[in-house]
Amino acid sequence: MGLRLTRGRAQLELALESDVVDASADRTLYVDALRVQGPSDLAVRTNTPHDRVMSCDPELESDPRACAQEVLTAFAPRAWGRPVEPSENDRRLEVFDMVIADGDPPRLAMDYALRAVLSSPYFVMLVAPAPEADGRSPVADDFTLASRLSYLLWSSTPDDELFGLAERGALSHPDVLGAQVERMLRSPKASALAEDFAGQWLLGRAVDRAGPDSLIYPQFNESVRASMKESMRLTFLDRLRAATPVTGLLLSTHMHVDGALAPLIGIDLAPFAPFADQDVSAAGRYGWLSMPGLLTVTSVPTRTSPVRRGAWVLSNLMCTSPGTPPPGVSGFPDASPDAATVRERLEQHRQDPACAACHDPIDPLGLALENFDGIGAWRDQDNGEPIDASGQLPNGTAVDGAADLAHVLGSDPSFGRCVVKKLFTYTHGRAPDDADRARLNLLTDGALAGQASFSDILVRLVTDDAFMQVGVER
Amino acid sequence: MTVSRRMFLGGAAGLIALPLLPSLLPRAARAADDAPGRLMFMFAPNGANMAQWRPTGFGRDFAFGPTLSQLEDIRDDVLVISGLSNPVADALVTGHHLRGTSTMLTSTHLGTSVVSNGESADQLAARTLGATTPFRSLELAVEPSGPAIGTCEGGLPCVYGQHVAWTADGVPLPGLSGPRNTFNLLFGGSDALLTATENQRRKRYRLSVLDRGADQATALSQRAAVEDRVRLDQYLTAVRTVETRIDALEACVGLGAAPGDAPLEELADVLLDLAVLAFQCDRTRVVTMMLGAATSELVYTFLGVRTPHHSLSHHQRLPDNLAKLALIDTFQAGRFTRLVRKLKDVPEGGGTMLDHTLLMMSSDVSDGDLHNHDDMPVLVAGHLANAMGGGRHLDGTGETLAHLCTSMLQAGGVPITSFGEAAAGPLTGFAG
Repeated sequence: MGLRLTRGRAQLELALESDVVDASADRTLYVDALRVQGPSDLAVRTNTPHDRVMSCDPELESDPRACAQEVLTAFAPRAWGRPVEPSENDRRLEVFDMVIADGDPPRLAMDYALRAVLSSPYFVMLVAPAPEADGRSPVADDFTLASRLSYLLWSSTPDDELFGLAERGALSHPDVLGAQVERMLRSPKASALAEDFAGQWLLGRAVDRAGPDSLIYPQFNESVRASMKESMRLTFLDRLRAATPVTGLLLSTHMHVDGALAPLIGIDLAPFAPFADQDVSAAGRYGWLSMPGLLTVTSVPTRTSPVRRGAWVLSNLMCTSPGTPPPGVSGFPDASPDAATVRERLEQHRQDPACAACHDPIDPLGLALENFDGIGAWRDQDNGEPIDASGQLPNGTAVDGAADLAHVLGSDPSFGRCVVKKLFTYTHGRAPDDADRARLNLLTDGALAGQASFSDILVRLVTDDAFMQVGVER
Repeated sequence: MTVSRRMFLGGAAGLIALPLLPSLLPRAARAADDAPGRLMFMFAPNGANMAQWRPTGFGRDFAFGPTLSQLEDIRDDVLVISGLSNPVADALVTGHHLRGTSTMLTSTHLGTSVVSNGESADQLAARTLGATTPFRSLELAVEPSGPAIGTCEGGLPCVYGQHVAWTADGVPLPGLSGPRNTFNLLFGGSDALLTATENQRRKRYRLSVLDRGADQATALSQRAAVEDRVRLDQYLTAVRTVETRIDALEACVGLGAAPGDAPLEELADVLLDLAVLAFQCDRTRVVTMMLGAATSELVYTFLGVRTPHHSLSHHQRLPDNLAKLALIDTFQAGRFTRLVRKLKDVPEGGGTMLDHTLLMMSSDVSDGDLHNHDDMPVLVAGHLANAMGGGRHLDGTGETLAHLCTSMLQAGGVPITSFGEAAAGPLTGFAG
């Protein structure tokens, strides 16, 4: 007997409705076996990439070729980011036919047909249609725009909504674009920005290559490394989506921490506690400069490196080049009774005018972070002597410690301008050149620089001509 | 036949017991005097403790220093050269490590505002030696090429520190550092579980798939802007390269499973063993290997050294640092030594593989503290074309790495008379 069951638990009961037939006998039901078979003609739909693409199974269909056509017709436009002519699909179907004709199974034929879609230049590269002789074809440009947008924010192909907007030619309106940016940043796929953009800019990807000395930093292990990376990813996503200005990257007192990272941060969590957004101000942590991952990557295996940290802050947060060391520079002096701390061993940078020229802007930035050791844990002493995290920037501003540094950098307009420049570079795949100067100035215009959120900047970048007119002669 | 990682690391029994090997080689390579010639170029970062590296005495009557004494029993297969320089890496400004690395095989001045370099010796060799092999050349690296973005030492682009192999178009070729990926790339083309006819059919399908992509690219190219055509050309070149590989995947099928990850102390050897296997299967005839990237900070804990390599190479003449540096130098030279022994152990065409190979190893600088580029540490081994006279310590003063490249390329049958920006001719005294 056939049964229609809904998803979930079902209780099956086999019983005689009445065990009395007539007064002389009663019936007893002996159940030998209860066998439930199925499902019959049930399409099991999961959400794996395979199932999203394979809307039918050519192995099971009576007309495998029709199934192949159905799959290709749906998949090719998504892979290539544009509508696909039937004749183009026919060419891929020919591969399917060839495999079938050779006697190989339909699933293998489907495999090779799909490979043909994915090895096409239209998938491997972003192809914007050349302008027609009579000018642009707006609908075609919208598809290019959709791909540019989705690969920028998601590192992936456009979804249904973007594709639909492109099909209707509605995407290139600034309001629509702005709304899409907001939507896409809230999607989990925006993690791509954390991994690809912040991963490069804010050194998330470099954590894999860090090698702290295991004897000096026994608390560092692969689990801690993984947590450092994940903390950077989650924390950046929060900053990215926040409606607050980008200075939050430097000033936020919140960080994503799990049980493995908690001891390094200096807060109390159960050993295997999952990641959660934590207030870390009590632990003296403010913003990205106090992220253990960053602090580890900007150290050397055996100690902190204020020069590396300072140079990184200068070039990546202020977009100022730190300069290059002159030839014949000797290595970092060993610790001695006179120079026990890292700070003291860098003394020559301050005493020798030839060194000071470059190191005066660099060293104070790194020295302010000296309370964070080579794996980002807080310390009050270096080699037995108290940490001195004070210094003076070339413009006379005094800094003392990480919190101070974060506030000084956050109130410097260079930071906002630098963030715009980094986002521009990531968006366009090139550093801004002279022709972009006017464009950039608009983006970083005075008040805007200090007040814009990541989302604000991205919307402006994406609605700018330089982004929208790819595919047309510049 | 499965090949375990232990077998890959070899041992006294030579590379791997592949009893069918001669029949697996492409027919062209099987004639006794017709074995293909091969060239290998190895890079060891951060220079060396030259006092312990340098042999004493020139000519045949020389004595190895401590670092190279491991070569004693194969001294006739090896040529140690002292005094060669790499003048293009010299600079009044900094960037010695990056310059020395990128120019080791190009001997051409690097671009500073844009990334530009000459064609490296291995790539030039690949034009001749790689014309018929599935892989024009093979690039290997112990340290994976990191993101080649941003600037590094001396404000130079980081990409200069991660590549010794540069194409004629100025494209740096990254090295493979994962044993599994390298194996699958070289040998994974055909499925060991399928029959020969099944594999043949798969080949046709793959070629057919590529065909369609190439058609689209060609059509696009016809209405593309000039700069786009370059990109489409690269795509089409990639397609043709893969087609050639698919076509050529006859030899060495069914080698079994790929080797797994290896720790630092074994990684170079595993990769070099794959290179030798690639030679045996004629997948390629040109290999470059980087034992580390420029300014490599690899930590050789298994040697009892806890200071990162580059930091250590700034020894400041302290005896402890110099001693530890010599340990690393010995290890690096040890990879070269082991490779030479391995090649010597594999019979080929009336001799051994070493008879048909020429390999060299050098560095980006000579002394890691001075960052000088004269008196480079240089090792050469192999008897390809009997071009190199082994068993000697050669004084190369006055000549450059480019001269060495010229001699090696000529030994490989590359039709050149000079190499590098300064058009250096063959190395004086190379043959003995």
